Amino acid sequence: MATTTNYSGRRVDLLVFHDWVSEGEGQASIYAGIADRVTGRGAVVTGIMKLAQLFTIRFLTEKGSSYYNPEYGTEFLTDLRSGIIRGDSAMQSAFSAAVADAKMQMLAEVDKREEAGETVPDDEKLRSVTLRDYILTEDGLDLSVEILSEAGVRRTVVLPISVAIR
Amino acid sequence: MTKLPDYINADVMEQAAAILKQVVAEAYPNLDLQDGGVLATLFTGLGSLPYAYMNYLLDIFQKSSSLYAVANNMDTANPLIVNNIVSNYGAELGAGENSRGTITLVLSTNDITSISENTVFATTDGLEFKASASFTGVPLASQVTTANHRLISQRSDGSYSFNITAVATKVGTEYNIPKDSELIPASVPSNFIRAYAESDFSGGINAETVSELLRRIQYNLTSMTMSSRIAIAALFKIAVPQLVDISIIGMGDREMLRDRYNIEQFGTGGKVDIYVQTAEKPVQLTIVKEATLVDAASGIWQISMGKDDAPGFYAVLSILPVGSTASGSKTIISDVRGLDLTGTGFRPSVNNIQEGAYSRFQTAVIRFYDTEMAAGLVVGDTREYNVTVYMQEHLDTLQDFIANYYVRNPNGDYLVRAAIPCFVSVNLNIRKTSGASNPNTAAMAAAIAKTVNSTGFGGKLSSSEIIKACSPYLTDAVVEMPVEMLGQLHKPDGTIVVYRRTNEIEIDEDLSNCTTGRTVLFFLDPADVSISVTELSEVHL
Repeated sequence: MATTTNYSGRRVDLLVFHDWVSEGEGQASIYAGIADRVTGRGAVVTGIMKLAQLFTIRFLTEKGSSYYNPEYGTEFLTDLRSGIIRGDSAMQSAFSAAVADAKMQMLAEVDKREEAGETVPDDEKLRSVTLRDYILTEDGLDLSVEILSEAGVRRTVVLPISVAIR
Repeated sequence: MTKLPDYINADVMEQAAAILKQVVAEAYPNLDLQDGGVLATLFTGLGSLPYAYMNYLLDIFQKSSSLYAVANNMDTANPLIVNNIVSNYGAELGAGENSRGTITLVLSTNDITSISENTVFATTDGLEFKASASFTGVPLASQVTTANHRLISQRSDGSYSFNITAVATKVGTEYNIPKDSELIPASVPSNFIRAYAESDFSGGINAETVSELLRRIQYNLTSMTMSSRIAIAALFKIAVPQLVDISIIGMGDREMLRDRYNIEQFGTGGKVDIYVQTAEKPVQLTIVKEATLVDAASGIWQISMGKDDAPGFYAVLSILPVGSTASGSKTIISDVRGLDLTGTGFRPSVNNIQEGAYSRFQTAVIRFYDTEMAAGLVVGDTREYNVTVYMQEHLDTLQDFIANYYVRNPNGDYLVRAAIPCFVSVNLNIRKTSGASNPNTAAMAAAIAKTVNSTGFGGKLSSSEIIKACSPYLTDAVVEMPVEMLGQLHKPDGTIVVYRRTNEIEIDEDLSNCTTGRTVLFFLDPADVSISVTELSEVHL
């Protein structure tokens, strides 16, 4: 996983998803945590990886599960657990609906920050998210997702989702 | 959907989150605190939750931190904090009391029978009581060597019985079960037939609510002296916490007779009669008394009730030979009351039964017929009888309390009396619409009795109060008028005045018997409420 080393003038967030797997780099499971499992060190993140992290957290949070912000998140995991996703069209439909919801929430957050006078760089504004591929296994689902920022920077990441698919 | 606990205020959380964000952003301007980010979630979402919880705790404290705040927030006042406040006035939230009583165990044989401590006995309603100690029923008097050895006696039907004491497993007035209530033990002896309450269980009090405490605490705010009505009431509530009502008659009151012994018959003061209600309704108490045969030919027996046997009792309900399984009572011929002012310590000046009836100084000589028992006996022979009386408890406790050298006002002569009773029975008819379910008449009877017993000193009982007590139990039904009320006023001199009313029973004043609305209470047992239910025919729909 590549991270930018130049944080000058940028706002940073904590890196909590470790071992991002890019397309072509082989499969691994991302894991959440403040510190890297191997090095034991924490890290901060900005730019396209921060955008990917922001999107991933919001996309994979079930709407209503956050008690202090019940509108945060999407219904993708809810749909996945309910068993209604049983084919390509259903997967595409659920993914698109969840991405649209997440994107709307993230753009609203950007608008709020810009109205407050903050400058949000284009590589932290989401333009689109595309489902490149997905693999259903008996343990879960691997989503290959391409995240495109307004700056034109793309990042394709694999999100392994460990849920019991009914 | 996950949601905030009810006690967490979302607005407070949002305000706290905004403040935290501002503080952190000013200190660390390079941190991204946008909603949805990791730092934002840690600092603001989770960080504001403890603040909101502390705000909730502070709100509870503020609503419980003074008597004023508690009075305005009784539903949410924290009992622990309330207790801390009222402790400054010598009070605390009452935890309630467990009722106590005696259980009779009926056995098929008189073999030695053991009941271990804490053996549970349950009523059919599920109310539980436990043996207050380990008891052993023994067949021979010589085997009674400790207080917990109980002599097994033979009953008239060939069975055997002995008594144990028991206490309710929980606090509350519902555990004041009536005499003869059936009880089922958790572990049954091999010779067990049945068990029942030998007398009314009494002493059960509900845990006190904050609103009840606030009403009571006004007594604690008074000076604890026998100097004013409210102070006397406060002292009596301390001596007998289950005291329900009190009426204090003193100098200048029409009902006061004891201070008028002068040629002009005007009140000279210094005497106080205190009429009390120590429980919602009187209790039935069964005691064993020795009766003496006074007329062998007619089978007339006589029992002398001393002042300590059943202090201030109202009436004798039944007299039956010990061991008898019969119901009802031997026919009572006469009940002559007297006074016994002997003993040490302060004694009030009481001149006649009108002034002293229903006090702890009351005695009685009861005569009754029992020709069967008298057969073959001569005058002077004695036998033991179970005497069941109807009484208010704790009169002796209260009289002894105010007679205490350090409690009694040196200027005062105080006499405690049970309120003069008017025993009530009620007949009413419920008319329900066609097809409607029957109302819960047992619950209705209990509610009517509770209403009558809570009337207080006023001397009036209105049928509208009875109808009001019925209303929560009436769905598609009404109370038909008239409501029949029968009241039997038992005056101190022994006369009984009967009131048959449909609108209101109002006690007639009889000053020679200290009888007015300020000295009389109405009592009603649920068993004396008769409710019939009729159904409208369909044409009346």
